[in-house]
This record gives sequence, structure tokens and C-alpha cells, in this order.
Amino acid sequence: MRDVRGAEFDDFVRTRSVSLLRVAYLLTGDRHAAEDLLQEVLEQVYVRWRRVRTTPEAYARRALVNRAANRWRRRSRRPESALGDLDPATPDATDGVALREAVVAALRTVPLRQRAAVVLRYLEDLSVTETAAALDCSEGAVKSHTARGLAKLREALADSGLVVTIPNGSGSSR
Amino acid sequence: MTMNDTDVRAVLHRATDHLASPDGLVEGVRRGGRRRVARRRLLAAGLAVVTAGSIAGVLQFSGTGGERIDVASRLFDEATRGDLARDQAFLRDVREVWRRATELDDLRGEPHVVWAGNTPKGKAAYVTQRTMENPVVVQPGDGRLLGYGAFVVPTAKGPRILTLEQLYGSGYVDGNSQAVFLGPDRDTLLVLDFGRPVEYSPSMSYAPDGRIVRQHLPVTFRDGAASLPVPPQRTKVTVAVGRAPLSRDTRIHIVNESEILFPGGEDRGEPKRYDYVLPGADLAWGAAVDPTKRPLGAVVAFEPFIDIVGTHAVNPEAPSLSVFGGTPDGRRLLIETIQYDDDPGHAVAILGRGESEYTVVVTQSVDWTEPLPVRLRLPDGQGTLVAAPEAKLEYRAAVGAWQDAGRGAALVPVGAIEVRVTPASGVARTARL
Repeated sequence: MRDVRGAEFDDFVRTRSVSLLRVAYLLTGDRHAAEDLLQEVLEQVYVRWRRVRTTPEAYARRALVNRAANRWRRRSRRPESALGDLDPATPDATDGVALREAVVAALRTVPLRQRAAVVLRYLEDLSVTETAAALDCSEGAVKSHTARGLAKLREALADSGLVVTIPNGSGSSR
Repeated sequence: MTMNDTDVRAVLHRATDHLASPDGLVEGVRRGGRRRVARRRLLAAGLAVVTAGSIAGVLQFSGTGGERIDVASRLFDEATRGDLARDQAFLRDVREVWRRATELDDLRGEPHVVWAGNTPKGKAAYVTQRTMENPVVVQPGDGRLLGYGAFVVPTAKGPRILTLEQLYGSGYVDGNSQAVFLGPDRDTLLVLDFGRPVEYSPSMSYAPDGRIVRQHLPVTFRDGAASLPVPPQRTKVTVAVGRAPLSRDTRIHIVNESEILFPGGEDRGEPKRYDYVLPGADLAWGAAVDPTKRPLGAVVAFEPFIDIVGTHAVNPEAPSLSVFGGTPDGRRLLIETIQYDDDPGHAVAILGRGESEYTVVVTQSVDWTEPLPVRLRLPDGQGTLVAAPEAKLEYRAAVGAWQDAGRGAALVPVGAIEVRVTPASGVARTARL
């Protein structure tokens, strides 16, 4: 029997998986969990392809946030694992690893929906309307989540002592 | 320096630059997707079996490797409870409200009214519906998504459905809302009976020294729920509810409390935080004094001043202050301000040594509009802790010149009788100790 999803679905996975994986990683704080989450969500997209083929990425983002929330709810009841246990560093990229660990640790201090709002707005560059669709909430709530999430993230990053050097002359921040 | 929006974008991108698409992703997704399609078809064909199996409690499902799926949660199977359980017209209305609100494509069967009853504010209900699939969504523990649930509450415009929540298998109901405020003034608390004893505390007050005072009362359920009169919850939440004994770990979520704390979903802003480490603090705390960490004994000492079972917003106008210092006799000094909603804040000073030996020595109510909001006289002639965020502080004894005491917070000697406070932008004012 011919698979109605065809090459269109494969193209979607190939072209958008890294972008979705980045979102999943920042939502979960763990590469392995992010890959599992991405796989689950893409399987869900596969099952519903006929319904979502016009807007698969929007559907996938929404599913990512919902499933990450479920994982996070459970995770918050048990002690956090040390980041080093979750996502081992490669010795030749210590600066990048330090930044990554600081960012992930800082994001962990931000409640999930606020974190999702920040990630979708600032990593994915989604509009408020698109973010509201992904979070299934009002645009006002997105603004609120984003503002509060950003404040927490900035505070946590400042506490981490992270020094960020931004390329292309956009300055550096502590 | 605060990170600007460009910096935030940059760090988020750099933190994910190392990620690449997993090998064999397309093939893996297709394989998994095909399994899901097959399982979905099997579930659709086997609904009659699932219904029959639920009587026994658990259905052993062998569709994909023998995973055990709990399909018999009482929230989906038990007969409707409540005094409106046989009111077919109301049940029909409730299901209709549910259907209009839930346009999820993965629901199956009919919505189930778990409870329907009269309350002092009108007719209310709690509804659930199963999902088409039961993927594992809670790890570890293999908690599976069973379905969705939501309260339907009375309003002037008719029944309204509140936040839709996911329900999990394996007994994971702790994260779900079990209670809701009813009425325009939210002065009735409806609590569902999930089969375990529940306590509630209708209000919170403060002892003269700032300690939290709460009375815990048992909830008496009748036919699946309890309607409790509570003080109006218009702008803040004073009610706490949880499984008995009510504690930090047994709190029950009230579904619409965020509507009270954040009306319209609007942000209320965050208070400005000030962490001061006084000169010489390292002598008592060690070289690595860290304002973000507290010794266990300090946490325990502060606990009576913290509403560990309640839910509150914070007043963005009231600073959040902590001061780390050391007393002349070598003890560790720690001051915290604690403030909820629009209530008066309190400053609490503790003294101690090491990890566990900490005692509350003095507290005061804080008025942040005062020139010198914090002035805590320590026992045993150890001086007076004064604080006014960002202000220049000076002190003097009965006679003599003003002595510099730094900015924001200081421990002034026991002989000091006056403190001069010069705000970052403003006129110097003197406060008597």
C-alpha cells in the first residue's frame, strides 16, 4: 500500500528536525531527552500527517511544548541530575560547553511555559501570535510569560557569572 | 550589565549550535509512526474489549510489546456522583460545553461527567474524556496519558469550562487540579473527592513577630465533593488546600487561582532583589559566602515565616532583601525580608554557626516608604542591623562625627543612636535607632 505521506513528510523531517531539536533541547535541558521528545512528536506528526500537512511545524511545536510539560511536571518532583551526567562535554569545546551548561541551568530556573515562550520567541523568532498558537494561550499570556521568563533567565545568567561574547560587534554582557 | 534581546538570542543559539539531526531520524520516525498507526487501529477496533476489561481494573494490552495500560482510572469509569448525577438535562449541557471547548483530535468515546452537583454558586461539574492513544508521558514510572479533565463552573452566561488538564495513569493525579473557586467573588471552594482525606485552610494571618498563622480544617466530602465557604478571593489567594496532613508536599492545586493572581494573564512585575554581603562577613561565613545559598539550619529557622502551603503573588514595589554578615562575637548573621501579596512585609534576623544551629533573634514589620525601613537591634550587644536599599548609610553615637557605614545595609555598633540615610537620588534624612 502506498504511504500517503510520501516524500513530503520526509522532507519536512529532514529540513526542520534540527530546528525542532533545538527547541526540545532548551525545553528539556537534556540532549537525550530532547531526541526522544523529537522522535515522539515526529511520530505523532506522521500519524496525523493528512490533517497537519499544511502546517506541520506549528503542530509539531505545539506537541513539543505539551509533551515537554508532561516530562517537566514529573521531573520537577525528583532531584535534578548533574548536567555533566546528562550531556557529557567534549574536551575540545570547553567554552561552548560552559556556555551551554550555564544557559541550560539558567533555563531550568524558569517555569516551563515561560521558558517555552522565551525559546519560541528568541530562538525560533516566532511572533507573539505564532507563540500563542504553540502554547495554546492568549497573546497577552505570551507577553506575560515572555517578560517574566526573560527576567528570570537574565537573573539566572547574571548569577552564573557567564561572560557572553557576542560576535559581529553586538557587545558583551555579563 | 543586563543582557539585551540580541544577547538572549545569541546565547540561545550558541547553546544549541552543537545539535545535529540524529542519525536515521527519518527512518526511525517512519517506523515508530507506522507502529502508532497500527496501535490506533487496534484500539479503535477493541473498544468493546477495553470497556469489558475495565471492570477487572487493568487491561493487559499486547499491541506493542505488552505494555501495561491502566484503563480503569476511576475518573473515567465510575458512575457520576453528586446530587445532579441523574439530571440528564444538566449532564447534556455539561457534555456540550465540553465538546465545544475540546477540539482535540485524539479523544475517544464520550465525555464522562465524574461529578455534577449544586453548589451555593450554582450547578458545577467535573468532566473527563479518554484519549485515543496512551503514550508514556511521565518518566520515570511509565505514567501514561489517559485522557483530559476539566471543571465546568457556573457563570452569569451559563456553564463555562476551565483549564483542560491531562490525566495520567499509574496514579499520577497529584499534578491535577482537584479544587476550584466558585462565584464572582470566589468565596466558595469546591473540592473533589479523589479518595483521600483532605484538609484546607481558609485564610492566613500573621503573629505579631511575623510568623504565619493558619488553621487547618478537615474537608468533609459528601457524594463526591465538598463546597466550602471561604473568604472572598478577589485579588489574592488566602486559601490553601491539600491532602491530610496539609503540607508543602501535599498541596492540591486550585485550578483558577492564577486568574486571581494574574488577572488577564498580565505580568505583575518582580520585586527588585538586593543581596548585601557586609564587610567582614567572610570571617563568620568563610571565604565562599554565597548570597544564593542558605545553610540548612537557616532555611529551617525562616520556615515559620514562610507560607509553605499557600500561593501568593509578590508586590513588585516591595524590595526583596537579604543581608549576610558576621557579629562581633563571630556568629553568622542573616537577614531576610518576606512579603506576600499586598500584606505588610517582615524582616527576620537569625544568628548561628555552621550548618544547623540558627535561631531567630529579632523581627520587625517593614515599611519601605520609611527612610530607614530595616533596623533590627541584635541581642547580646551585637549592634543594630540597618538597611535601606541603594542608600548611603552613616551613623553616629551620642557625640561625634558621622561615620561611613557603606551602602544599602550595615551593622552599626550598639552605641549608635542615629543613622543618616542618603538615597541615590534624594535628600539625606536621619533616623533614630
